[in-house]
Amino acid sequence: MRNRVREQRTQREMSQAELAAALGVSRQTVISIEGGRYLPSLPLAFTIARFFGLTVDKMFDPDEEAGT
Amino acid sequence: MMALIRPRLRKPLGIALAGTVFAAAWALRGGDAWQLSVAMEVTVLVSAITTYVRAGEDNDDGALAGSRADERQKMLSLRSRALGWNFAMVAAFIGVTIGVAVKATWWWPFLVILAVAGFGQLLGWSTYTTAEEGPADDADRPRCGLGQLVILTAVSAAVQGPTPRAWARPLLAINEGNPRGLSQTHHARRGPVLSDHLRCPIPAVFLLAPVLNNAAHIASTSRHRHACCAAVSSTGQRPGLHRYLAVAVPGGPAANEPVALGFSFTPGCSKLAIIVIGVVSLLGRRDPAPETCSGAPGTDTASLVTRGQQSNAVRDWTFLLGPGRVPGINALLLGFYLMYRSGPRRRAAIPGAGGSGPATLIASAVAALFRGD
Repeated sequence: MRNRVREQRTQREMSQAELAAALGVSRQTVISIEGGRYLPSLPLAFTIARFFGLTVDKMFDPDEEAGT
Repeated sequence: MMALIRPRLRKPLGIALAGTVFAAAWALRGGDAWQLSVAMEVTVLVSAITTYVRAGEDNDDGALAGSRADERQKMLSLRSRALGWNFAMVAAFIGVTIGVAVKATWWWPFLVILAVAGFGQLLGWSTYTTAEEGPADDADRPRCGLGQLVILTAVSAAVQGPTPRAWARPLLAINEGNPRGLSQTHHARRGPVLSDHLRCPIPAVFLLAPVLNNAAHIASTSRHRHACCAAVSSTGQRPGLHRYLAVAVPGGPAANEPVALGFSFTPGCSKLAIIVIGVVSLLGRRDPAPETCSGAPGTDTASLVTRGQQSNAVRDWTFLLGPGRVPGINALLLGFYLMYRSGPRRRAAIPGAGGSGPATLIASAVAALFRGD
């Protein structure tokens, strides 16, 4: 599942640590989500989407492989 | 309590506390054990300090050590524990298998590990699946997992010994507890029903063994207390029977409830009546007059042992005819037939497996009655 976390974060010129602090998760988890190695829970997915002002389906695209 | 302790201190303090208690246990042994106790305490303190230092690091391990793990890190911890559990189970299984093969005396701790882990898994299933699922719209649709049958059978065999009856127990439990299959309506009650089957043999094993198998115990003056405890243990199993009724009767249009009730009560009452005879035979150990007790004038230990063996034989036969035979018939009628009628998802497998259990149990009971030893 592809996601736009890295893209949205870099647009806002945030570091992974800053995003992690804003979302209330660890920096390692942000790295895993950006790399597509970890699929966040539904509450966390909503938190991420709301943080970037997008909907969950805009933030996470189930039809695309991670890294494509 | 935990909220008052800083997250970074929680695990180090836990390690220090548990380690200190363990070191104190060594110190209480006396003798030279205090040296080991001191070395252990030093190791524990070093470990606690190391954990505190690790908790300050910015990585997954640090987050877990510092009790600030997020959902992914908690999942990692859970998966690691599951892997450790699997390793422990495989090691325990290998240990008990080798121990049995070489006729060693040290195999039983491995069996205890397997049994405790099995109980833990059963408790987890009963707690989490029920709590998280809740009732479904299709509450009367039967649900059952063959994996559960396998695990329960293994645990039951581990607890009760590798006899055909032990292998049949879980099948009976599932059948008796869920005569229409494992519907979600009855799901919440499955755990207690199954635990009845698995819990009952434990006190009986420890209490009945000296009463039934030890000639010296039969001749001893303390046999009355033991016999009473064993009898209470035996009768204490019986409330489980009535919990089956509670599970079997409510709701469920697929089953004919009066028939289910009849099937349950009739063998149940028969079983209870037979058990009472066995319990009375155990309590009959109190029959010998005071003058025949060990140490009293006119004591004849040989005759006392013979009388004890006779009461054992009565007890064995009643328990074979009661708990050995009636659950088989009960499960065949109530579980196998009604489960098949209810149309479970795996119609061939589940009632088939359920049918094999009672058949095995009845065959085992009949074979035990006439084996001649």
